[in-house]
Amino acid sequence: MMPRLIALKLLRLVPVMFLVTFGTFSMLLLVPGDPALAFLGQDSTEEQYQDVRADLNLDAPFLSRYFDWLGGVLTGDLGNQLVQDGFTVLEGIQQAFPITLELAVVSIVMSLVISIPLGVYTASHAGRALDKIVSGTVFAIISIPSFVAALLLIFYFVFNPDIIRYPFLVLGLAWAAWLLYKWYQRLVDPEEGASGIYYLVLAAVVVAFTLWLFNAWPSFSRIGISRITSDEGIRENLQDVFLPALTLSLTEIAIFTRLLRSDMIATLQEDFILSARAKGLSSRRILFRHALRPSLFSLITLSAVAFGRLIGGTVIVEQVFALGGMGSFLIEKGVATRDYNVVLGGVVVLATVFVLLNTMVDISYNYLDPRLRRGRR
Amino acid sequence: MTKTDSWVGQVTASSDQDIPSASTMPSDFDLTSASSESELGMAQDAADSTTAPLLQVRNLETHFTTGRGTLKAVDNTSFELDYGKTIGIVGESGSGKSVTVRSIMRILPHNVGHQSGDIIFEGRDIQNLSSEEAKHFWGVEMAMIFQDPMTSLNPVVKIGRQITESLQYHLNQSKEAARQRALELLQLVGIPEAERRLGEYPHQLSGGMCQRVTIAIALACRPKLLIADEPTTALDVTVQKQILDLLDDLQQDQKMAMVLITHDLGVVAGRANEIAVMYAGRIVEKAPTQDLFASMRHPYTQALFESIPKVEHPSHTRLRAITGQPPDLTALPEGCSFAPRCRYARPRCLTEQPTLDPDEVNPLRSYACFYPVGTPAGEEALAANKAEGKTAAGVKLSSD
Repeated sequence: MMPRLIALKLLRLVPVMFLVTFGTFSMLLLVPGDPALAFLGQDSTEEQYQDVRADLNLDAPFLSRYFDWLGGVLTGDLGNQLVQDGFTVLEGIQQAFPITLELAVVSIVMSLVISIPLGVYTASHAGRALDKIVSGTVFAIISIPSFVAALLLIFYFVFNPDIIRYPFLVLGLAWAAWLLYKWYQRLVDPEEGASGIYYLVLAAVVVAFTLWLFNAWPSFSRIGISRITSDEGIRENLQDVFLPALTLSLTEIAIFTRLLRSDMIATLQEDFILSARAKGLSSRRILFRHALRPSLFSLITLSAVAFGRLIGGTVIVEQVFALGGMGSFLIEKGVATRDYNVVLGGVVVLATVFVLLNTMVDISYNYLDPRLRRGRR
Repeated sequence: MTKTDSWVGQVTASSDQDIPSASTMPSDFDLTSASSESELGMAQDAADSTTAPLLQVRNLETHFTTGRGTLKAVDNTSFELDYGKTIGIVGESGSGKSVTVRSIMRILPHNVGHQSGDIIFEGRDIQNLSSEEAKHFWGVEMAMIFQDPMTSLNPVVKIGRQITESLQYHLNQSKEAARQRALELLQLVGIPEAERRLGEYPHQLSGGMCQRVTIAIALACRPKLLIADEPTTALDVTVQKQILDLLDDLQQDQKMAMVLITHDLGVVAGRANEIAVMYAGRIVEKAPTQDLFASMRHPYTQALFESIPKVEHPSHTRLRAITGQPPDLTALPEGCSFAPRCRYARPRCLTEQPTLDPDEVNPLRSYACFYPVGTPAGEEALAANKAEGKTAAGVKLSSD
């Protein structure tokens, strides 16, 4: 049964989390430098130094310090930020984490929304011209470092929006014209298919959307982020998050597309695809209803890994866009100033997110592939 | 490797296990068995109602473009099939039987270099259907079942859904109606506890059950023609007979015509009205089943038949395998493609390609051979080759 399975998987996380915290705690002890010294700075007296050491419980045995700290973590107390006085670690994380989370969610969703159709298309047209163009472009994108991509996107979207806006208008209108042509074909020759009106409606939607977006082209912000909870509301927030998320997405789109393409090509060689074709189903239906689901395993695994990476490691993009997410918090407030409480707290949060994600991937396999469900009931 | 390469690789591949063998029960050879009699009688009734054949294939040619050149998978193949009747297409791997029916089903890989010929179904050439007609043609008017039932069902889709899919897609049935029909179909193909099976996945069923499901899927829209591409090759011997008998029953029940592809002459012996033997992309002999088994004219048909071990033979009798390898379809010989392996081959066979012509005595049967087995010309050719100790292509002949 599914709820039992989920409970079982969550239970297995307990030893994992124990090992993660223990490992981090021991490794921080091995890092050179004295937290008390980092806290006080160079010019402090011996009394001050001893006070702080006593305060931070630094002279206690290792295990007792670890369990003290772990007890705090379990009750929601991650300790104080040592260097930036007056704030707890939890407050710092509460500031930074929502930004990072939103960034990661938006960029993963964007990556999937773009790469799944691209992957399906390139796989079903493997070896043809458009597949080669898309695959080549995707390869080129993988090799662009994110700080370059960020600057390029800022250059075009923020400072020269017309370079993007007008081609967008042209593309949208061209698409609409093609749809109208399809509709006209069906009008002239009803034999071709009865669903002509569908093209007309679609063309109208495309034109409307293109013109609307062209006129109301959002002003993307170069730096900073306004919170969803702020007065500007969700629209402002999404405008702010768009460019950094797109920067992060570029690489993911490239990787996801290539992965899905190769998995899908393998699936399309399966016998059951041949028999689906023999059933006389349309190729779109075969691709999305029959071939996509069995091809998604690696993509889901990889996107969970990518999500975990985005949660912890978007420092560069956060710097370029001055966002102040988890990456910046960990590096600036933790590593750079040797604030071991911040590092520990950050790692605990990131590790929790990471193992939870992987558990979710594990569980999703059971939904995707019924063959895995055997013997679990 | 791309999708198409591997597929063509499969067509050209040949291995010992693909040489026809008697994997079916001896009783299948008995032409007077009850099942074959009733089936022939039924087919006669169906044929009387209409005069034009259900399916006519004329001069079908399907060539693939491969790295080694043009591969002539099917070359100049013609046959007809009447309403309610069965044609058996027999040949070893790479003989073009699968590509022939896949051309008819329009499920060829993308590297088809050249395709020509007419495929006429109920008076219409199905290659020129309008896109709207074509949308609901394949899977409705004709359907197909495949060799390996375990892999030809989608592993992640429930069995019920796989059956109802074409009902909803092609016939626009409601979800509930389609479900009812799926239940009927599962009962029809003899699956116990059909209700429960609807909600199960293919891996929960045995191979024989899976093949019954694929048959149910094929029958869903009541096709007039069922194409069975080696439907029993991947199954246990005991299950093979059950599936073939099921196909027989369903054919009578649904008044379907059937194209039965196999590499095993035993499978078609009691079940087909007519048999076409393919070799290297061409039909080399075609005859009503009784006539074919009474006397085989083409040396290849004879060799194929003789390579089946017989029950009455003493144990450890040497199997009469066909010497040599099937030809490379990208570089066919100039003359008869079977000549390099044929005991009857004379110099003429190496330079001239025989055409498929009707027999002078029995116009119902035809074969493509200059020196047919059992005719004076053939006996002379064999005697001359034996005197020389080898055929024109250099195959050594023992004096037996």
